[in-house]
Amino acid sequence: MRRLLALAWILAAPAGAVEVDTLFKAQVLGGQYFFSGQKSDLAGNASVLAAPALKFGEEFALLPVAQASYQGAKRIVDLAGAGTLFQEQMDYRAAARAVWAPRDSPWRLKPSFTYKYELLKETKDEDWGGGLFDYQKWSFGTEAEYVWREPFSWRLGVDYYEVSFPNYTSLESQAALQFQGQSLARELVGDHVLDTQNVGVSLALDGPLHERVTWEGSAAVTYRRFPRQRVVDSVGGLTGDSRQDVYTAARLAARMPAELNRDLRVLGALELGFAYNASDQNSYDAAGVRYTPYYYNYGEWRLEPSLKFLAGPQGPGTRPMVLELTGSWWRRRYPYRTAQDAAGAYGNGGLHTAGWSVGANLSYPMLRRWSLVLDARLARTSSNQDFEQFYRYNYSSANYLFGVSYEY
Amino acid sequence: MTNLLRAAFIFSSLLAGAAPVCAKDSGMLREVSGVVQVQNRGAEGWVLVRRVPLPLSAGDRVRTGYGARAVLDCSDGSRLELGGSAAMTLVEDSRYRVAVELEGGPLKAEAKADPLRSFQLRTPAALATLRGAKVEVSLEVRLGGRTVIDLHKGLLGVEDRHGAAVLLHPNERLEVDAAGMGRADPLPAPRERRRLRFHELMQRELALDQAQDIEQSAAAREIKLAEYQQGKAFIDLNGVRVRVEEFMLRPAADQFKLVVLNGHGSSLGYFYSQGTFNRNLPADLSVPFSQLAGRSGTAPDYWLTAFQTGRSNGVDSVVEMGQGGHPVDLNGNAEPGDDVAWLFDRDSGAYVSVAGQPVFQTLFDRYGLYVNGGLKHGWSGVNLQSREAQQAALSTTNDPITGALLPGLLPVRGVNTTYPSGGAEQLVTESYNDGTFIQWRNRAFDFGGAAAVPGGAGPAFKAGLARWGFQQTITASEFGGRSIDLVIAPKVLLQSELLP
Repeated sequence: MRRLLALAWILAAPAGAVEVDTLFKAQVLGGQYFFSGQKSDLAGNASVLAAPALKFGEEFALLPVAQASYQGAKRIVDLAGAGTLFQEQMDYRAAARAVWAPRDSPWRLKPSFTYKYELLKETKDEDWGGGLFDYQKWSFGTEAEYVWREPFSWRLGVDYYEVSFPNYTSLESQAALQFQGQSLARELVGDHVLDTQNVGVSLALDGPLHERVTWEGSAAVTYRRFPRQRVVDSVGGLTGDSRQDVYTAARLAARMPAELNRDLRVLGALELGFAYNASDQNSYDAAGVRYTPYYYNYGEWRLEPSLKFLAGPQGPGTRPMVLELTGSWWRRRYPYRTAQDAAGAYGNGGLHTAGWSVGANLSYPMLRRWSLVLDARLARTSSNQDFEQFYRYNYSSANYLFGVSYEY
Repeated sequence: MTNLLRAAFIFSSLLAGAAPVCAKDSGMLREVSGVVQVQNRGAEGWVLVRRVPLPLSAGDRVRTGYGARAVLDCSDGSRLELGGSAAMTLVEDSRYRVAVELEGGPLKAEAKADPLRSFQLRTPAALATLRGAKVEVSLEVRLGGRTVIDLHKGLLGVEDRHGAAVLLHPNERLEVDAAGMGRADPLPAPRERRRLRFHELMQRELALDQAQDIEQSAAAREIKLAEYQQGKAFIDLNGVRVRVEEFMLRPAADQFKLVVLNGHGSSLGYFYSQGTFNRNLPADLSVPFSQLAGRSGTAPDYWLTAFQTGRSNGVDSVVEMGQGGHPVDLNGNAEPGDDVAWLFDRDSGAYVSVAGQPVFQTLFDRYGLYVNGGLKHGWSGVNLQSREAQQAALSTTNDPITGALLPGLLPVRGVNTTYPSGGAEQLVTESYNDGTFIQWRNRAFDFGGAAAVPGGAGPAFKAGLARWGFQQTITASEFGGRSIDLVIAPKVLLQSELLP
C-alpha cells in the first residue's frame, strides 16, 4: 500500500521532477518484391517510432511508445502463398510500459498496455480502413523480472489481449439476413468468427553459458478463444461450443561474440524454436465431402543461425559498420490434414510444409545517428500439398530494400 | 639523507605491516552486505561470511550475490569495494606488491602510492598498475572478459594481453578485451552516466515491448493464413477480392444442400445445390457423392430423385429444378447419341474413359430452367430413358414442375458452345427464338487473379478446371446489364454434371 501511495505521489509530482529521455527510430526504404518469377513495381516503406521515457526518481519509469509505419514493398516474411504482389499496409501502435525497480532489489515489475491498428490493402477494390483483414489488437499485462546476475535475468509475464477483425464477418451470417424468405445459413453461425480473446503466460531466462557464450530460453503458452466461431461437427454442422486453441512455443538460443582483429568483431547466434497449436476446431470440406478433425493443429520446428559482423572502431561514441547474415529453416506439420494432389484428390499422407530463407542486412554509418541500409532476402517454401487452387504452397520469393535509418 | 629517509620509510612500513589492523601479508574483509562468500586457497567449498573483520590470505577468493557488497582493506592501506554479482581473487598482498584479480562484475578501488609496493588490478583482458600518488578507479568485467576501466583520480598504467600499454589520466574511460584496448575517452559525468544507463535500460524495455508485439501479431497472421489456405479469400480475374464460404446442410435424412456463398466487395452472391436421394444418406457422404456423376459397370446405389440449384447475385437468379430422377444405362439404351465416353471420377478429380461400358446416369423426367422466376426451358415426361427422349418431351404450354399453364408458348432454345481465348474459357450461349438469351462464361484463374488455360475442349477443358480456381459469369437478357459472378469449387459442378 505504501508503495502504491508512493507511486501515486510520484506520478502526481510536478513536471520538473521528471527526467525525460526520448528514444527515436525512423526508417525510409525503397525496394521490390519477387514472387515465383513475377516482380512488383518499385515501392517504398517508412516507419517512425518515438518513445519519450520518463524517469520518476530512482525506482519508477514509464515508457510510452508511439509508432507508425507504411509498407508499400512486400517482404518475404509477409504471407506470400495468396500470390499477391500488390499489398500496402499501415500500422499504428500506442503502448505504455511502466517499470518499477525497488532500490537494492533484484526485482522489477512491469505492467503494460498496448493498442495496435493494422490496415491492409491487398486488392484494387479495398480502401484504407476497408481491408478484409484489417485488425485491431489491444492488450494489457504485467511482467515480473528477477535480475539474478546483471545483466541476466528471468522474466515471468502474464498478458491478456484481444484481436478483432472489424471488416470480417462470415458470409454465412450475412446470408442469414439477406436472402429473402430463404435461410441459407446454419442455425448457430457466428458473425465475427476470426476475433479472438487470448491469455498468455510466458517465462524467459538468459545467462552466461561459458566465458564467451550466453544463452536465452523462453517458453510461452497462450489460451485462445474464438467466441463467435462455432465448432464444426463431423457432418458439417455447427455445435454450440466455441473454438478454443492452446498455442505453446519454446525457444532456445546461444550467442557468442568473437574478435577477429581490433576492428572486426563477430557475433554468432544459433536459435532453435518449437511451437505447437492444439485446436478443438474441425473442418468440413463441403465440395470434397470430407471431415478433418483438429484441422488447425500443427507443430513447427525452426532453426535460425546468424552472423553479425561489426567493422570499425568499437566502444562508446563509435558506430561500426554492421553486416548481418541470417538464415532460417523451418518445417511445419499438420497432423490431421491430408495432402491433396493437383486436382484436389486426397492422398494418404499428412500435410507438411517446409522452407528456408537467407538474408543480408548492411548498415553503414553516415552522419550522426544516420545510417545507410541495404537489405536483401531470398526464401523458398515447399510442401507435399499439390492442390494449389487457392493458395500456393510451393514457391520462391525474394525482396530487396535500400534506404536510410535514424536511431537514437 | 635520501638513504636515511628510505630506511626510515622501510622501517615504518614494517611496523605498519605488523599492526593488527591488517595482518601481515594479508587483506581484511571489513564490511559485507547481502550474500558474500569466501573460498580459501586450496579449499573446494565456499563459505558464507557471517562475521567481519575476516582476514584473507593470498589465493583466497571472494564472491558476491545480486545487490551484495564486500569491502576489503589491504595491507598497503588500499581499499577495494566489490559490487554485486562479482568475484575476485586476492592474488598477493605482500610487502612488495598488492595484486587483485577481478574475474567478473564491478570493483571500485582506492589506493595510495607506496614506493616499496606496487598496486595491481588484473582482469581477464587487462593489467592496471598504479602510477600516480593516489588513485580512484572503477572496473567492471563484463561478458567475454571485456573490461571497462573508469579512472576518477590519479594515473593508471594499463596493458592489454598483446603488450600494448597506455597511461590513463583522471576522468578517462578505457575498454579492453581479448582483441586489445580501445581508445581512452573522456569519462561521462555522473549525471550523464545515469542518463546513459537509463537510456540503455529503456532501449532494452523497448526491445521487449516490440518482441511482444511481434509474437501477438503472429496470431493474427496465422488466422489470415488459414483463411487463405482454405480458399476463403482470394483475388478474381477482375483483380477484386472474392470471399468464398462453402458448407453443407442436411435438410432431411435423404437430402443434402450444398451452399456456396461469394462476397464481391459489398455484394453477396450464392450458389446452392439441393438434392434428394433415393434413400437415406449416411453421415459420410463420400459414397453417395462418388455416384452423383454416374457409375460405370453396375447401377448406382445412390441416385438423385430430385434436385434444385440456384445462382444469384442478390437481385437476379437462375434456378434449375429436376424431378423424377432415375438411373439409366445411357450406353445400353437404344440411343447412341447420348452415349457416355468420359465419366468424372470424384476421388481422383479426373475424367476416366468409360466408352463401351455400361454407364448409369440419372435422367430426370421433369426439368425446368428459370431466370428471375420465369421459365425459360424445360421438359416433362414419364420414365424417360434417353437424353433424346428428354428433348422430345420439351415443355411448350405448361410449367414442367408445377404443371401450371404458361401465359404463352415457351420459346425454342438453341445452344452454342465455344472455347475462345485459346481454350482459356468456355462460352455457352443459349439463344431463344423470342430474342432472349442466357450466356454462361466459365473461366479458370490462378490464385493471384491471373487467367489460366485448362486446355482442350469438352472433358479435357472440364478436367483442367479442377486444377484451377473457377469463375462462372452468367448474363441474361432479363438481368438488365447485371451479371451473376460466382467462384465455385469446380468439383461441385463436375460431380453433379452441372457443367455443359
